[in-house]
Amino acid sequence: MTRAQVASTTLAAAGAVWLLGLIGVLPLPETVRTQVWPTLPLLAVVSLGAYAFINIGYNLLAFRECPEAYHELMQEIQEAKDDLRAKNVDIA
Amino acid sequence: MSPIQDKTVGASLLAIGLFVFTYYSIWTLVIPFVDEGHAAHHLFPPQWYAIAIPVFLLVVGVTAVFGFLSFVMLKSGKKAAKKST
Repeated sequence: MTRAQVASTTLAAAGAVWLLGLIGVLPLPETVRTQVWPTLPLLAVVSLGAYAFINIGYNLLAFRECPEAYHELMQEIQEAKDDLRAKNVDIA
Repeated sequence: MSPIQDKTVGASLLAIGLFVFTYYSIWTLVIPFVDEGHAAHHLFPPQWYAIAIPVFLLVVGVTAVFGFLSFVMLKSGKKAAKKST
């Protein structure tokens, strides 16, 4: 059972429940059914985006600098680029 | 990119994320149950925008992603054609 399988099964199940609520099969109060329920997928997408922002923002704030690792990484990138160019890979 | 720049970008991303999440959650989950006369309605645009704005942004975003993808593919296709001539 791969991660993708788990994710798509959960997504399909949630989608099915949402569709059932939309067509009126589930016992929902009237305001919820007409005004809140249809917006739930959008709420999910917006929350996912907001979660991504919060995650990146927080990690940018809390990340401690390490200058030697930076220089070492830049050098490794340069070596890798030269190596690939020598092997005829199209690098900018 | 200096660390101070990184931290300001991080702080602004964090703030935007938190604000968007709380505002949109209240907009979609709480406002439908608030009576029409309540002062809270003044803080939020009509419900129509709660659907229109995200859908519009999604369409723009997906178009941008596919547009960029096509641009890169066309550029590399042109380069390959040039090389083979």
